[in-house]
Amino acid sequence: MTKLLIMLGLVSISGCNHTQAVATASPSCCSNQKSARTAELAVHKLAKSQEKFRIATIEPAVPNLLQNFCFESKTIAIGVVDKIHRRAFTPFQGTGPMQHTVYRFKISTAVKGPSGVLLVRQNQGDLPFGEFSGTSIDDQPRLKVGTRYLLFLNYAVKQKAGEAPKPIFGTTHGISGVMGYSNELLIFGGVTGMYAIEKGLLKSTAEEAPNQLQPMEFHDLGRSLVGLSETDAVAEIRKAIARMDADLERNRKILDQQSKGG
Amino acid sequence: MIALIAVPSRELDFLTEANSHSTSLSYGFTSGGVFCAPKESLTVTAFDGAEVSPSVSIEFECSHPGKLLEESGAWPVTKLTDSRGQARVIVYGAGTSTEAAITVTAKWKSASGNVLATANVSVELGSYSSNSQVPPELPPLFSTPCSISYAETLTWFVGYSSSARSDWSASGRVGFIPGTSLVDVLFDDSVCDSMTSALAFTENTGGQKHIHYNRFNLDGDPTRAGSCPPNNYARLSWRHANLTVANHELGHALGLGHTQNLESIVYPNTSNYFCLGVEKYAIADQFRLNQLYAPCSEIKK
Repeated sequence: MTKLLIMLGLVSISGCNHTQAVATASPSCCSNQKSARTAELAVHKLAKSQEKFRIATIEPAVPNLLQNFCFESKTIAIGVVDKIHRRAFTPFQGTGPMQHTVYRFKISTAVKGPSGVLLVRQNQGDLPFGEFSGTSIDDQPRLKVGTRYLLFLNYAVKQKAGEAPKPIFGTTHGISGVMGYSNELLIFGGVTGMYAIEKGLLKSTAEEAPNQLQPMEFHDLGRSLVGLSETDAVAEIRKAIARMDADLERNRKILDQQSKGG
Repeated sequence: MIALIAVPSRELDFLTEANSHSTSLSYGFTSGGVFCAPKESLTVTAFDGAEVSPSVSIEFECSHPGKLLEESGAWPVTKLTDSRGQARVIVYGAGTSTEAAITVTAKWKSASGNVLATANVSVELGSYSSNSQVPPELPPLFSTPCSISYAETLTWFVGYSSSARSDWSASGRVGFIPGTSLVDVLFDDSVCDSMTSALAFTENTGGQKHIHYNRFNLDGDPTRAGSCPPNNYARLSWRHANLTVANHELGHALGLGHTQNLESIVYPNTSNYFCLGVEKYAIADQFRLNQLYAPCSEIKK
């Protein structure tokens, strides 16, 4: 059971020094980063009145128990998005609507996973193409530089502990190439995994329009995390992690007993 | 004697769907100081002009030992599901004014099955009227919605894509014909993107709707010809809702945006499939589609 659950999640990279990982990106990415910077400059030249290209996605189901949500999130942390690390097309040599933005997330409280600085990726951006000024994805609010967040994060691909970030290849719109790097994390669960913190309270990042998906109300918490103080939210998350650990330990003992009995 | 208490907890309010209205309801009853509450929360959905179910049966859970309670009543409903929250009533209708009420009969039984007491309650949920007498005018998404042209560059998602077109055609408001060039909808499964959790996406701006299925997250067979590179590492639990994914994206292409209604095919994630088994459009989606497109049967005349 535990093994299966681990297979369904992502490999933990506890022990990896993320501050170093950011600074030691693979040399093969440098030319791409240069072109990304050139493209970033082009953003500012574009009239702001232009429309963003809209993409609607379907995301995987979100666990409705906080303990499962925490289990499937490999990193849970509070911190500040202090700068944009990269804006680029996806893959880097693309020129169309598929693009991404990578933010630097400076952790102040590591609830689960490493502390330090992480890279958080969102697959939308501001690079101009055609008559559009960038791409936005419905129901996925953008991170804002300077804002404090509680984020539930996952790595997109397998990464061994301590391993240097490696380029990830893929294909979209018929163009194959580097899509990003293995040390970039994705926000887990959409708006359920992303809370702005204002005056010490957790706030939904979803718009308040009636058709906007709001953060999940967790069955085991009896509510969503929205409105909790930062301290209470961290306490509830730690309790949920402890509950899950206890469940896994109980299951492990049952399996052990069954295997001994068998 | 049982005192049945029913308390509407929220005023009528607009929900996600255009011209729909909702209210929340929490109720329970007391007997000898014991409070009983419904074992599960319910969503009650009523559609104007639709036939309503004459009665429902709800199991109650109370702290009174050795007693069993049965409850039935007449509800203005077509459907009951677990809403994972308080009971919720949704009434769909455009340009109408309707009074909604729920009548509940509770029977308090002994362990041997004898009826000890009965109580009735009628809950007035209030009346509502649509904020627009006429469905909002929307620009036509397709000039010929009953013969939307499509093309596919699919290698493995063909069956799901085809099923989705059949499912939506059953709505009677849209139809699909294969095209060759400058088609209305293009289906593609060549995207192999491990740097996103998206299972699929639809480019929603501009004339042609382009639907992409992300095979990294959907395709469980790395040995298939043309599949993703060896770093194929899609989470196994993501690969069970392919028909839901196909119908969801085609719903976007037809003009339906996301909704908070878990029963809807355009719920933003596959929780609708894993919680309720949703694989194709729901009545609420049909209602929205009806506002966008005329019946194909009328157009053909």
